[in-house]
Amino acid sequence: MRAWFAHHVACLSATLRGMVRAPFSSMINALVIGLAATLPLIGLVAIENGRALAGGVALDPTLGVFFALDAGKQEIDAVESVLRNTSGVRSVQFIARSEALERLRKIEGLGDTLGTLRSNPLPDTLVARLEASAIAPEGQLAAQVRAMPKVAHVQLDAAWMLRLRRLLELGGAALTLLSALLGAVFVGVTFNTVRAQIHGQADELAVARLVGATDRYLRRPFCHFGSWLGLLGGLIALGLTWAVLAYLDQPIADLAQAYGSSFRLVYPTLGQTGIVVGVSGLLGLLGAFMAVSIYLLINPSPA
Amino acid sequence: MSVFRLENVHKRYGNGVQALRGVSLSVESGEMLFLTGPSGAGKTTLLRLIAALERPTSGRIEVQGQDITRIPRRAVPYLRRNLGLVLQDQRLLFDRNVLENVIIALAVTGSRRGEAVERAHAALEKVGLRERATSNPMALSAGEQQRVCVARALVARPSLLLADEPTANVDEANAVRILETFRAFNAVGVAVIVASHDASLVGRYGSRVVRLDAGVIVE
Repeated sequence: MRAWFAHHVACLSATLRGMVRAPFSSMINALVIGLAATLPLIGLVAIENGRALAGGVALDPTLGVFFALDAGKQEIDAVESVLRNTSGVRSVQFIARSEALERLRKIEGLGDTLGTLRSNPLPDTLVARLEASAIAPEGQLAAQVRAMPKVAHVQLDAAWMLRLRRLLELGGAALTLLSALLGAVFVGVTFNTVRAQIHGQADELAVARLVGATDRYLRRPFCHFGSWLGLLGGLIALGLTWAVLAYLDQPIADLAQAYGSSFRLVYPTLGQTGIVVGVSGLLGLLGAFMAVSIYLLINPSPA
Repeated sequence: MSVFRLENVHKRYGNGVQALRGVSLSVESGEMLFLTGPSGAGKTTLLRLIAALERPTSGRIEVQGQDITRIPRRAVPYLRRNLGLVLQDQRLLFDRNVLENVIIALAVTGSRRGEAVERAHAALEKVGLRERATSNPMALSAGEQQRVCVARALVARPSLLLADEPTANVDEANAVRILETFRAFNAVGVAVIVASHDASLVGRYGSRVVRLDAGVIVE
């Protein structure tokens, strides 16, 4: 255990010394990896911001149920009962036709017009606010309510919400694919970098094997190198993403303000930052592990 | 107790060359043995089989009580840590100094750095190169480089030393020095097997000599 730990410390120290000795090539490698990671990270942040924007301006989807003018309390209560007993319905409000007319009268300019009417043309209405997460079943709910007696019209105000949600879902799916592809690029770049390093140290590996080095021992320094390369790449990706956000922050805030919104860009949280750096390190480790393992497989220890 | 034992070992390479034919040989702990014979007799193959650098086509090879023809590959490094190898084609690392070239044999076993440095200096002292510890191997003569290899083979205190033509390409003074180093280690209980085609050099020592020819022990 002591030897294992000591070797890890030695590998860590050798890796950092090597990076300091050759800062240019180390930085170029880390930069390539960082650039590969930047795109999905910016995509992730864009999706997060899209969600925040949607959350900020989104009204809950609403279901308006307009009754026939001759609808009675019994029919209205029946519909209200159905709505209240449906999961995902946040609240149900009854607006009596007289109340609706009163509200209309308060709107400037409409009072005189409404005064010319001989009778109230507005129907009794139930307005149900649905939970944003319960959008899928509301289509069924609308159909169910529409089929009830004395229901003249059902209006579902959720189409735009659904579209936005689908767009965000599509963006999320595309981002997952992109992340997987660029993760593979990330691993590939590390693999190639480590492979070049292995070939430069082939003599050392051969001698070490001759004097009794195990494959694990041989793999260790390269895995350290790959992990650090990945970590650096992750940090560079975060830095670039931060720079992009900082650059766009004010123009987007100005644009949002023009639309009467106080929306500001959402930056990656500490947790997300940690995940990005951790995943970058793991991908670097994976690339290095694959490079050494394949080398050792192709060049097996004699006998 | 035998350090290694070969029983009816055959080795045929992929290209059809039959390097060894039914070789049986045993070496006791603390013994020094010379393998002689012309080029292509099978000396190198024999040593490589004992070091588990090759696997025999058939037969049994026991090293320190272990049948190495049956051990898994992952166990081979641990076997090698108990062997000192001085091979014809072994390389020194020219990107590090002499001391670091010797230390590598201890580093793979997890020795503490301080202890490894001390032991590497002691091994270099034994081969007469202590004062060259910080030199680059490239600055050494062929004989000195070979002695660095000997120091690397011996620094981990192996119980068996295998040397393949250790005196090839070195002058007589260096050759004698290398063999004297082997004798010194043999005197403290290390079994030493030296493959050499130099009969005159071998004759100077009163050790057992096994002569191979065309893959067969003839003497």
